[in-house]
Amino acid sequence: MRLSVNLDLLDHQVTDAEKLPIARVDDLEISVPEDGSGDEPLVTGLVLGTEAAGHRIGGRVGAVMASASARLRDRAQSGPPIVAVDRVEQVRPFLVLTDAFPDLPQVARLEHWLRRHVVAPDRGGDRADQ
Amino acid sequence: MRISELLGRDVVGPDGAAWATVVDVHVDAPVPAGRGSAGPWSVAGLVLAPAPTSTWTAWLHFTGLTQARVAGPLRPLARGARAQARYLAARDVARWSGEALVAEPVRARPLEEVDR
Repeated sequence: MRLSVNLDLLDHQVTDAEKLPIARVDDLEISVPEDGSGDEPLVTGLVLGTEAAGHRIGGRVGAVMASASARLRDRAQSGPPIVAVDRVEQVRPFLVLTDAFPDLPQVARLEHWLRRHVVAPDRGGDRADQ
Repeated sequence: MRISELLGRDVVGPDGAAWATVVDVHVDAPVPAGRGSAGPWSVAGLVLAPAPTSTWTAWLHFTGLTQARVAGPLRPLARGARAQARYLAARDVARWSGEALVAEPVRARPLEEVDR
């Protein structure tokens, strides 16, 4: 399947295995080959979340977006969440991952926090998915 | 590297002269109906707007209007910009590092010849 980054990927909705919207594609991670090798770059991951969107937008607005989102990031994470492309099972009309939302703690951290502390604080975060 | 770093990047020939700008990237994604993709995703090619490009043509490219189905008064403008667009296979890029990509202009072909 041949895709256009602009038309088919960037800013497109990403859902988990249960079709729950969790993020949008804000950038793609690629590995470039050595100069002169004739090889094609490989797309290694989808970069999700507001932090990546802020970097892509740039300027003062983008910097504020990226900074605010980075504050919610796990300290062990060095940048915005990246989902490997081998976790993608569908691309059109929206991207579907092979994992369920609870199995993607690095994605949509604000939503995870809200689930644990606001939506179901008495029942526990795990049971909020039932 | 991020895809966003490719978009808007200049393409220069071996002599250093700029001849195009990257406006889109095509990716081959072997995603089957089952769980998980069947193989690596690769960058197949680059959609280029020839340099120099007017601001209006650049806007048409960046909004995707030159590749999407466009109706109404923008259609002839989008088709005109699309007719100027070029497609460069990723394997024909000699250098990916640096401020500009390096590739020979003769390697690019009209975008309309490419069946996406």
